[in-house]
Formats: sequence, C-alpha cells, structure tokens
Amino acid sequence: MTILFDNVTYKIPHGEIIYQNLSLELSEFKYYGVLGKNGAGKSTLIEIMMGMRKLQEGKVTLWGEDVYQSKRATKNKIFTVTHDMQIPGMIVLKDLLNYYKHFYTGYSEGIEAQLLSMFEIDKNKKFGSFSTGQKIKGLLVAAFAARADLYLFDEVTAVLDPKSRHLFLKFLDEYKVYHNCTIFLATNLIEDLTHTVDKVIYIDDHHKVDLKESIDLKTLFFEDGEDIAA
Amino acid sequence: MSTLLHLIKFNFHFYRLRFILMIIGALIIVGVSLLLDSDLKEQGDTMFRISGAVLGVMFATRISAKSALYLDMKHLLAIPLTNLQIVLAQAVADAVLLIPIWSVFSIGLCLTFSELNWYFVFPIVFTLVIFAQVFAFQKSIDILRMQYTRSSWKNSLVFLHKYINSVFNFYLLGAFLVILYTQTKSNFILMQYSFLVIGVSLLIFASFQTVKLLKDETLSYFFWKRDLKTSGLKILFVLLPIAFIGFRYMKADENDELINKLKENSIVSGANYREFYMALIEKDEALAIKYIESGKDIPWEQELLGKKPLEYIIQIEKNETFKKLIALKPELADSKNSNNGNTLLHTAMSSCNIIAAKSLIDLNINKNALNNKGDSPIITAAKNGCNGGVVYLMRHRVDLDIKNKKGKKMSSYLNRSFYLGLFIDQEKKIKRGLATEFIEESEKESLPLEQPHRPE
Repeated sequence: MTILFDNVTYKIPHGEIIYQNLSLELSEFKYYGVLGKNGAGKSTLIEIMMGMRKLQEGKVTLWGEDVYQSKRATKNKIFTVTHDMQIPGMIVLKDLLNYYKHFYTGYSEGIEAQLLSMFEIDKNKKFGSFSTGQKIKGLLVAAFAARADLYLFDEVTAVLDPKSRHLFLKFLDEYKVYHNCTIFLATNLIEDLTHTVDKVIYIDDHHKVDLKESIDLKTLFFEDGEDIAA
Repeated sequence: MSTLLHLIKFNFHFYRLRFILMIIGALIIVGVSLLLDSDLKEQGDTMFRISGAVLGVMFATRISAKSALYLDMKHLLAIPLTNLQIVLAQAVADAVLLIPIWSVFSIGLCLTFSELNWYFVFPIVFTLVIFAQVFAFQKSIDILRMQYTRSSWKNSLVFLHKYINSVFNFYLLGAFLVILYTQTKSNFILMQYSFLVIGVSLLIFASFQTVKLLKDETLSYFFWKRDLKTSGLKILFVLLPIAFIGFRYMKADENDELINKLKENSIVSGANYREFYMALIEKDEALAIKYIESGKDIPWEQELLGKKPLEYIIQIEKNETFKKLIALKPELADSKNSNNGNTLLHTAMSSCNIIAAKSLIDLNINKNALNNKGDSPIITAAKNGCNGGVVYLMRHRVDLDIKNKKGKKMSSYLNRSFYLGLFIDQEKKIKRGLATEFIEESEKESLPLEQPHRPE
C-alpha cells in the first residue's frame, strides 16, 4: 500500500475539525484527483501528506513511513508542487533545476528539455520575470524531470493558460503510464479529472472523504438538471 | 555533508549579487576604518563597531521579513531533507553568505582586544552568526504561519508569548555569560573556549527548537493551558531577580567596591590618618572638613590604590573638602600623579567634576599640561565623553591643537564619540543642558565667562 490514512483526526488550532477518524487506503501507481468545494480541505489533505500539519490522532504513512518521522528515506521519492510556493525573483530557473537535481537521483535532463520546449519557457530567465503561470510551469518541469514515485499537485492547473493546461494534463496521463508513478492532483476544475483519473477523492461540505469514480463528477456539485453555465 | 555543500553552493548561485554587495560593503567598512583612524587598535574598533551594526541591521531585517527565506517554508518542507538539515544546512549556507561582514567584525574584534585569539574569535563569531540565522528562521516560520492563526483573538497573544520566551532565554543566557566571565576573566584562553562551547550549545539548542517548531504547527498558536502558565512563571523568574538586584542597587553606593578595598587597606586601618581616611571613605564631608580645620596632619603624598587624597576627593566629588584642602596647599594644584602623569585637572576631567576643575583653574594652573600619554585635560575630557568639561575648557581657551602621542587632537575623540555637533555648535548644546553643572555653578557665583574658542 502506498498511502495509508489511519484513523486520522485533524483540527485547525482554535478552528474547526477538518478530518475526523479518516481512514483511507490508496494504492500505488494510480492517478487520484482531489475534489471538493473551497474550504473543504483539499490543500490540507496534501499538507498532511507532506507532514506539515500536526494530527490530533492517527497517522499517515507513505510506503510504511510515518510522514512526521524526522528521517525519511522515501522523501526523495516524492515531489510536491503547490500553487502558493514562493520563489524569490532573483533565482534563475536553470539554477533551481540544478538545485533539485542534487536531491533526485533519477533526474532526467531529457525530460527537462522536453518540458521546457513544451511549455515554451526559457530556463535562463529569472523567476522575477515570469508570470504566475510560468512560475508553476518552471516547477512542473523540475517535478517531472525529477522522476519521482509520488506527485502531490495542489491547484497547479488553475493558473495555466488553456493550451498549457491541456498539454500538462496530456503529459501527466502519458507520464503516469510510462513511469509508473502515483499522482495526486487537487483541483477545482472538474474537467481536469473527468475520464482521466483513476479515482477521485471527494471531500464534501462536512469534510467527509469519499472515493469516487471519475465519471459523472458534475453531479457532486450540481443538482440533476441544473444548468452549469447558469 | 554533500547536502550542506550543495546548499552553500546554490546559495552562492542564487545570491551571487548579494554576496558581491557583501564584499563591497566589507571593503567600504575597512576603507572607512583606515581613513578615520591611524592607530591599528582604533581601526579595529571602528571595523567591529560598523560591521557589528551592519550585522545587527541584517539580523533585524531577517527576523521581521517573511520573504527572507530563499525558498518558502512549504517549499523547504517539500525538498528531500530532514527537518534538522533544513534548519542547520540552511542557516550555515546563509552564514557563509555573510562571510565578508562577519570576517571584518572578527578582525576588528581581534585588533581592538589584542588579548583575544583569532582562532577562537572566528569560530565563536561564525557560530553566533549561524545561531542568529536559526533564530531568524524560527521567526520566519512563525510569521509565515501567522496567516493561519488570525482566526482567533487568542492568537494575538502568540507574539507576546514568544517575546516573553525570547526575553527569558536571553536573560538566562546573559546571566550565564556574566557568571562565566567573572569566573574565567583571569584566563583568557579558558574564557574564549567557554564562549565557543556556549555558542555551539546555543546553536544546538536553537536548532532542535526550530525542528520542533517545523514539526508542530501548534507551537505557532497560543493555548491558555500550555502557554499562559509557562509565560507567567518565566515572567516571575525574570522579574524577581531584577527587582531584587534593582532594590540592592538603589541602596548600594557606586563606590562600594572602592570603599571596601580602601577599608581593608593597611594605610587606612593604621593609626595614622585613620580619622581622615574614614571621613573620605564614608563620604562624610562635615567630618572631613572638621579634620582639615582642626589643623591635623594631612597625608598629601600618601597614595591609596594609586591615588593621592586630592585625586580621590575629586573623584568622589566632595568639592567643599577639595576647596578647603587645595586652599591649604595651592602649590599642589599643578602636581602630577607619578604613575600616569595626570594633573588634578586631568583627574577632574576624567571624573567630569567641573566644579573641581573650576577651583583648579581659579588657581591659574597650566590648563594644557600633558600626562604620560600626551593627553591634555581637554583630550581626557573628550575621551571620557565629558561634554561639560570640554565646553568648560574651551571657554577657558585651552589649546585645541595639542596632539597626544598617538598624534590625535581632542577633536578626533569628539568625532569618534559622535559629539561632533557639540564641537561645531557648542552654544546650542549648552542651552540643551549638556554642561548644566558648569552653567549652574557659574550663575550661582555670577562669574563672567570667557568667550569660547571657535575652531576654524
């Protein structure tokens, strides 16, 4: 089992309970979408998997390792990209990619070149000269070139232009098959997940977590017959 | 180790421009020191003061800026590093970036205090710079997490709680350092070694605290049960000794140490002059004057702890006693101390006793006499930051161009003490009360003042 949520309870200090007695067993080599309304706890779920949040009860393990363990042998098998990661403007993308290369032994310069070309970004430019979408693209280049075994993406598609978003999702689909990795994509866009993901982790208004099929995702948000456009 | 080197290497890559600016800054500090001072010791003094101020400003900026991290906390936690590696390797990498500034600081420290050993000073300063970075990292984590903690009013107490914690820790550290200093001041090697050990221990302590903070987000929140009790106890722990020391200090005389030494002295405890010395030690002016007026013998040349009675009286500011004594033997007004060549006017200036200085000048003494260092009384006043004394002697038109054995005029000491304004516009400063003792005394006795000597 790749990921195990064992009776997890998480409460925001002085805030509401986000997850109570959550137990989930998620398989390796699958593509999971994480879906839910704003404030449902999608980012929190990703941050719990990163070991950033202190649980009140239970534990989360990745390949059998507790995410709160100080020394984690499997940490270099995980790559996380979130929409709110800040990179100082004076850092050149090329330097950041070289920086990551040290930590990921399987880093592929071939994939790096392919993605730079696909996203049409210049690695000799500084992050300060990039738009929000280009910054995310820079991090995505690093992520895929790192050839990790588990990817945690938190709302990275929302800032990509339609073409880049399409290319990213297409690439993700192929990459998953080719590299046998596990992917978590937290998003607010149903179209990102429909017919592409293996399973959807749906978090409802009461923070209840459910595993769903990727079909008919719209029904999770809209009543039967409701006009989405309206 | 490879990760540490990797982080250092990439810190240089990421911040090469900042590093170049650091080098330029360090060169400017060295240049300014060479330009302002001719003596090696004073050059060192300027170097360590300016670089110390720069390091302080950078630390303060780092502590309050959430963007100071080269990657944000989430990013750092996502990188395959252990929490301790994140904290320590990052702090070391940042401290390496500051090499030019803290090196100048260390060099300045070694030049100023020649008894220090560079092979201790450099590691101690480096360790403290890393410690400062770790401490700043703690604050950055808190500041970054504050965005999540604002939902409850209780969290407005987080900063107060953290502040109390920091004050408590620094208080303990300060107390420990004072004890260590007093215990090891006779052995400099041992003292430096102890400071190095403390620096490393501090670093380890702060690093593990930061790791704990990284792991446990609740440490950036305020909880009544957990935090209030500890904060309260810490406040008491800090305040009670301060109150006790303050109370003691209020009662204690500033010359207590000297008095105790004097009381133990064989000359004082001997039968001769005991009454006279005890009157001085107890600062009983009436008794001292009674002794003088009784016509008993005065130990004019007898030195106690390197000071003759007239010097001691000037130092403790018993000016009526001084006037009575100097009136008995006015020829001593120009006498010099055999150890340092100081005249009584030098002593008056080093103690900033302007009333005694006035009594001496009334006796038409040499106002420009030099001591063994070549300092004139006004140089001594400037060196000791006695602004009133400087103004007073300037009004009596002493020679401002005398250079001491270091080739320095009085004005260089005024510059170094940031009293240039006084030198330029002394009248304004007088009005602002910098020489109040002198003015009050002058007004009381309605003495006509000489016109001040205006520098060109």
